[in-house]
Amino acid sequence: MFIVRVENLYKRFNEHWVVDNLNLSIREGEFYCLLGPNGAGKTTTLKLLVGLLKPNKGKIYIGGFSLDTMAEQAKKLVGFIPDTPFLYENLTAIEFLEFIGTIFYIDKEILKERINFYLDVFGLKETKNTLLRDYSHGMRQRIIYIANLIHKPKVLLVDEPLVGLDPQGINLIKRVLKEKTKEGMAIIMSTHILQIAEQLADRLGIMDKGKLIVEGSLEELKKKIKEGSLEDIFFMLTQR
Amino acid sequence: MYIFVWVRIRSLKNILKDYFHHRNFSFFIIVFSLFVSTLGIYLAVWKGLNFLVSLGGIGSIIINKLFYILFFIIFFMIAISFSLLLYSFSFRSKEIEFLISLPIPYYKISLLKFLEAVIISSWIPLVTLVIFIAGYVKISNLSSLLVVSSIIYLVPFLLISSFLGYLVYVVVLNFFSFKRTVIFALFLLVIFYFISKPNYKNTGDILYMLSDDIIFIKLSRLWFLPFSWVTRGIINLEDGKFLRSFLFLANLVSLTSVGISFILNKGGEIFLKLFYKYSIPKHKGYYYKSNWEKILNNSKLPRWFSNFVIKDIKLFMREPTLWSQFLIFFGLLFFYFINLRRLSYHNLEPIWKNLITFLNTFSILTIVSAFGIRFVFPQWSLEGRNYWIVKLSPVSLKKIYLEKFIFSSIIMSLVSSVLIFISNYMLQLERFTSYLTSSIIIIGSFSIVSFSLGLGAYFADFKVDYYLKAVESWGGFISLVLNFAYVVITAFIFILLTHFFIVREMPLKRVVVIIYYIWVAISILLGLLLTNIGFKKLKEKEY
Repeated sequence: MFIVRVENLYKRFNEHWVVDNLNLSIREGEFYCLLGPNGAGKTTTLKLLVGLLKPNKGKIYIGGFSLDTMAEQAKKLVGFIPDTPFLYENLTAIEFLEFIGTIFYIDKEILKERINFYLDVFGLKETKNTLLRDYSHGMRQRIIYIANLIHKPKVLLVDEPLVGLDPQGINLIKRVLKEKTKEGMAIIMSTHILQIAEQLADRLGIMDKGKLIVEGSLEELKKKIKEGSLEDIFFMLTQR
Repeated sequence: MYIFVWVRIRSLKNILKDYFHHRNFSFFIIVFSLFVSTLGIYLAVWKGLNFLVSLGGIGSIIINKLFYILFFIIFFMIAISFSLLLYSFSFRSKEIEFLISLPIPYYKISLLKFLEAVIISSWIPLVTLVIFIAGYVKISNLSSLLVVSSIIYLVPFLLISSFLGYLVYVVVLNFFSFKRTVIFALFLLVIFYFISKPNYKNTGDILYMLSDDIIFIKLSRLWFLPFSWVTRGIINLEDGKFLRSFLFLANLVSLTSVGISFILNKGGEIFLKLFYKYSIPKHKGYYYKSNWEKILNNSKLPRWFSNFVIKDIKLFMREPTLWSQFLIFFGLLFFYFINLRRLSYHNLEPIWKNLITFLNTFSILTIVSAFGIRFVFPQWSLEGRNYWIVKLSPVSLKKIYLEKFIFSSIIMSLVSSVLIFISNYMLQLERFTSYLTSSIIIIGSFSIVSFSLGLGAYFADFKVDYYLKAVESWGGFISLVLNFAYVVITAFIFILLTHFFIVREMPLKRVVVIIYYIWVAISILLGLLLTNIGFKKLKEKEY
């Protein structure tokens, strides 16, 4: 079953088409990586999927709910990790997570359990009562992941997920995300790091100038393009 | 909605806890300055009202009119301030993107931002009005219960003025651009000036000045407009006419309900439409070199200086909420000053003319101090994530400090000098008072800039990405209190001093000049002290 469906999506800034006739279908439990050079339209696509931008044309369905007409129901199924996430600086980690839990109507006891579980997984138990403004960049990234996992979204949208993380952090995030897809969560990730895409993605889409120029699993792409590595494929397709 | 209130209260509690435990001294200074400034304003109001009461019958008339005028002015000030704040909170805040990505109904986000803008734009007017009413209650020997009950009238009043600001915000953002609106508003004022006929009946009689023949007085007292309802409600309450008073309260509450229900029903839709319109990444726009930039580049100024000035001007010009406030507030003062002769203020008796002169000086310095906080204070914080460029650049920090000081002081003193010149010219002042007020304005502007820049350097927070964040910080609050206290004390000294000499028909010059020199010395010393403290702290700051 497709948890995300995007049909003939267009987005224009001034006279420039940033997303140009995009069609996407993502299955439950699928790890989908969006690749492309700077300005290809990856971040814009993710912002469209979460309702931060309004498409000029086209439809987006999440879990069968149209983002246009049933935005609230659709957003209940989504988690979004932007490249520069927002945090309430003067809240502690635990207060911030309680806030998120309340927004998603999670039962208090269950919320407590989940918070403790994820704080443990992400190694933030010791600093749960520290103000978020005193968190390092890596810790902030981790707390954002927790905030997006405690409500068990069906789809997780991730924009440049590993910026500023140390090797342990990268390893942890990779492991957690892969586990989540096994539990049925679909992940759409926009990244510049081809190696990560190679390791994690079930399917890859390469965007350039707003268009999805190629899509498929790594093997399918290799067969289609007849190039050695993902890097070769990427450079061949996005040469300007 | 309660969860958002919870977040705000929690954040505030955590900030206070942090200050109380780790920054005792700062906490003490803040509480102390809050107490002193409240007490200072209360004493100033009490003293001023006492003075009016001492004038006898005319004093009572002035106090009555003062109530109407005060609510009239504050009503529109809040509306303007609210609409600019709502714009900032809705389109310049990262929180909005975060909230939109969550499953929260849009009307709730819209209501949240509305209430946030109401609180930020209204808390100072609310405190000022309560203090004013408290002063009035004290001199009239009325029950202090009147102060408490007046708050019931003030809250819907503030909400109604904010709602007017909301309507302005919706109309402007839907149908115009910021730039066009401000230019259009100023154009309307100019047209109004030329087509309106001056009232030559007036010979300078103060009672005539306060009569309904004067358009602003008439407007402020119109019974069917909300800014007069609070005054009418309070006056009726004072006179024991409870039913009439309740009628005005009912008016206020019902109009507030209309506003709130409009926001609850239509707010979400309007918010989303405007968010999509204004959230388009700005980097898709193009900016070209302007003529002023070319002139500055080719000038004989040192290159580092002109480059930093160009950068600061650009940042100012590309922030609509900054330049529009600058134009609106200075524009309104300009409009008022060019109408002084039409109001026949130049024909007033010396005692009143003197009061008007120094009140004009006071109003210019108040606007300068407001811009000191909004424009000068955040300058260091706004270097933000680029502060490393400043630190690594071959230009010394001292030079950059100097550039910011010269740039801000020149702009502030230039605009305020033009305004005081117009005011003095319109009032046909004699040379001495004219020179005195002009130099107070120039020295005052330089001092306010040095206070704001010094405190801005001391409290610089490089994590801040928007100027309002810096303004709303504790440092911003201290700067606000200091600037305002400086302006109030300055106005108070010179108004009382000149009034004393005029009443006794004594020559002004000698004593006033001595006091003036003392004031100049204190201003310079305080400016240097804060510059020094701020600069030292800035040098030590780690990025």
